[in-house]
Amino acid sequence: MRPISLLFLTPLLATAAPVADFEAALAAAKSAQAPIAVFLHGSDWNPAGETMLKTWQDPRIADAAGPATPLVTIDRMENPDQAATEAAKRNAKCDPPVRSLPAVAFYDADGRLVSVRSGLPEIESSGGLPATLKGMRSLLAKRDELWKRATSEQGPKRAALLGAGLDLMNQGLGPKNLYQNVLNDMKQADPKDESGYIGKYTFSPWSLLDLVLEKVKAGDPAAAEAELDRWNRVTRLDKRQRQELHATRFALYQRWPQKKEMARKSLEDMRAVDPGSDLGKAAESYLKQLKD
Amino acid sequence: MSTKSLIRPFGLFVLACLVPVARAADDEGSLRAAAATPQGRMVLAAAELRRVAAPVIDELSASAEGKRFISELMASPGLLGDLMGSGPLPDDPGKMLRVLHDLWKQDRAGLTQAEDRGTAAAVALTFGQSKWPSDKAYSRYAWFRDSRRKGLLHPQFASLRPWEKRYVVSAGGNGSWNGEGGWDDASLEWLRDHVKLPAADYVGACWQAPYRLHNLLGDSIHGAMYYAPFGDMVHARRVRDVGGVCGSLSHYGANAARANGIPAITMGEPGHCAYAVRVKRGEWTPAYSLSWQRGLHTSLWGSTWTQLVLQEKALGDQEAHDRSTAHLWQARALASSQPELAETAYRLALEAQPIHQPAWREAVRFLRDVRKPSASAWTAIQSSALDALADFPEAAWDVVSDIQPAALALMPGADAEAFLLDFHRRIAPRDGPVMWNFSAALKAQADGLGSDVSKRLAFFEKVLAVQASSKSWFAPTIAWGQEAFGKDAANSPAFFAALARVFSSGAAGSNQDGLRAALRPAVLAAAANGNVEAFQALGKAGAVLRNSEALKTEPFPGDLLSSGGLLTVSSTSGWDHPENHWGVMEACGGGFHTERQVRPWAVVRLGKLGDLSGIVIHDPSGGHNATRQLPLKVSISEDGSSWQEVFRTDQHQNPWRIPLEGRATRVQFIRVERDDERSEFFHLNAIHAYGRRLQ
Repeated sequence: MRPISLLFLTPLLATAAPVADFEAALAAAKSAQAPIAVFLHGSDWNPAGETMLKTWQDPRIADAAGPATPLVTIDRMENPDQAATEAAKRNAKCDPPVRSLPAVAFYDADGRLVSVRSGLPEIESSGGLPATLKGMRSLLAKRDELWKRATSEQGPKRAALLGAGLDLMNQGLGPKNLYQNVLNDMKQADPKDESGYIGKYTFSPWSLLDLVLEKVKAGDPAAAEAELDRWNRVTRLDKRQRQELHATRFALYQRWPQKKEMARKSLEDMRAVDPGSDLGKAAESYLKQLKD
Repeated sequence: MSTKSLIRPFGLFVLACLVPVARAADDEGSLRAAAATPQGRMVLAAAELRRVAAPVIDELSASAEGKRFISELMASPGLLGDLMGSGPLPDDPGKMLRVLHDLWKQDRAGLTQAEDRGTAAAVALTFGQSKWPSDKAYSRYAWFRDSRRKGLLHPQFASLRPWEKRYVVSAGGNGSWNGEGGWDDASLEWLRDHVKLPAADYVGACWQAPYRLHNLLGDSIHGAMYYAPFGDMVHARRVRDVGGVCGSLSHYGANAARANGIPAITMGEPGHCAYAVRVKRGEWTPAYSLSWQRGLHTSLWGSTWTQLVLQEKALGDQEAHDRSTAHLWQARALASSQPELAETAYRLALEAQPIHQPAWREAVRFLRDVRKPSASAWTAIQSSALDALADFPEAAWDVVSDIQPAALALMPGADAEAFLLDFHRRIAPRDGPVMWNFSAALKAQADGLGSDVSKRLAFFEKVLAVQASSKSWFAPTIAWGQEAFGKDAANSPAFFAALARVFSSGAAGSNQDGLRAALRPAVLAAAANGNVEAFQALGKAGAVLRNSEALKTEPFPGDLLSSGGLLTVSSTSGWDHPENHWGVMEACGGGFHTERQVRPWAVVRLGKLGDLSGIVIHDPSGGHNATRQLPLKVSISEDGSSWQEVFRTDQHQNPWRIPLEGRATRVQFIRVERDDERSEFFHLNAIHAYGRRLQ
């Protein structure tokens, strides 16, 4: 009986296909170990979404999403009828952090968010809807490959592979820390953080800034400096994080009369990391204003 | 000086003919006839425009092009109607006309189409305000025109009437134009393209930007360097990416809605900036709002929430409002030359639309300054105003407060109290759209009676008797009385005696018993009505009744966010002491005790919206009484309707300490309940929430 039912299911799941709602998509994805692609629009108020919906409904979108990928369309209507209200309840578990519609979200087979693009400009800057989906699919495949390799590794190597998988998604630990278990796994594998990834995924510039303000207020700026130095030794911080660390150091030296002359150097370091980035430009702008 | 016309019951009169008022309005019939039809109202609109902007009309008419504009405007029911029939004119009508002329010059064809013409009128009405830069008006008009034509706005924009568009095109900062680098057209464009949401979701759009008192470089939002280093970014984007506090976040949310063609406003609240979105016609929803004390930054009628609700209702009834406005124009035109007929015109304006509150205020000022009614006439006028506006007590008070000084000055002292109490009798059964500064009204009324404390106390007692049955006004009446009389050692015995009489308490003569008798129902009423200010005032008033020993507790990091909040419980009981409810949220501790019931609960509305570090709950009960709270469930919410469970236990503990760091990032409400099917009492001594303020 079992081989027959598998044979029967295989053709159905071989290509991406629309499913009724996110609940159905989760079940199908779990069964086929496939990702889920979600398109969010607003049929009664969002003209841009309706234009993109046509692309979404094109049979060729299945190729972009990948084989066996359930496709879910969520209509965030302003004036939903009874059917739409019922559908919204069945889609309640799909709540990606969307700042604008239309949006596309990609989930793994366990229903975890992998990537999201909010609004026309973001989707277009990713090359349009098909290219965005392809990119998300490819990202997930690479992540899963890294995490598969991690299962056969131990120690810092394992942590590094897990961290590299998080890097690909570029969303930290995800909304509501949904990838906290990955961080826990990294901590267990690499308690001394030789990979540097634990530091990367626990780094919080805002906590550091709070610490700086608190220590300065308590008359102990040196303690804050020591903590910043400790973070500076984390090798895996990305460019943005490194700039944030320099920004926090600037905040410290601005408030520390004995070391105020080092504030400028902090801005220069911040700029040097990535001069063309938002924070690089902010450092440049601040330097000019200090000069003025 | 009859003034009888304004107090005559509203009735219908047969229209005889249409006679433009400027030429032949010499009786009530001709006034009615002139305002009865759209054509007649256009004649009146043209006359009113000339009345308020004659020098600019003459100046424009001096050139051939300007003359053509004025001629087309006066002959265009569409354009003139949009301009003059879209709520009050700005403070500089001549400037408004110049702005419209400029728009007409640059897009004459556009102004022939209804959608763009309405946008042009809204822009002229907005940029005609003295503080708005007229040289920016065209770019604002063209931006909305082109965005609509390209289908980039929410579809509802196309169906908005010009007065509704005034709440869209006025995007900016604190109700004013915001210069380059602020909430300018570049920010609007960015918000239009990057924040597209269903209309109701703009209520939460402010949270796309993080609440941060300091930027990454450690500069405070209160200094110049918070945003300055990020000068390369469009302001809207830098608010999203750099952060801000309530002002920046609320402007982000409101301007995101406006940039997409949805009416929205920002509002000042005590120590806070909030906003509101008109999620659909007739429905404004407050956003990031922490108090009823809202001062609207943009409004057609006035700066209170009541006026926003009321003007929505009034302008939403276009036919009635148009007729009412036309009669106002007649009244103004006649005020100096034919005051008796002007009075009739005012009456007709109010008859056409009794809820036209600014018309009431204008009429009252006219009567006071020109017609000088007798005391009995004022009494009747006040009665008519209350008939019309009692459903909106704050708006009614605005009118009554204009009447009161003139009326009291003419009135024998013996009549004054009854005159003042009429307001309370009318509003007692009505809640109105929102809480308002009721205590200021009571103070103004008491001041009207003079400085004799016995008279003021007698008035308070009578007001209390009237409002004792009111869900909304009872608690604030007590709170005001406590503030005005209860704190003063010389007056407090009389105050408590008054309370005791009103509550028929047998405890007259004992201050503490009198205070208890007054506070208990008042505290519960304030809580049931969500009146934080009254709850706080009453809670503090009850301090003398509480044990002064502070609760021993181990706090979580941050401020005590529950302090200053409001406690609502599912029921009260004979063991409950509502005067102790206030302390439940304060460091001192307090207590509540429900009746026997299934799933009893207590909800704390925090004094400050916050990012919680933890909650501490105290229950000193032992033995069987300690089981009454179990199983204990704790939930949090931002809006008081959508809850997230954060704690559940079957084990008694005193206190329960619930760490929440990173799990409760935006909380305004905490719900503590027993989660089983037993019918049992429920009581706690403290619910303390700690964390970082978000306001």
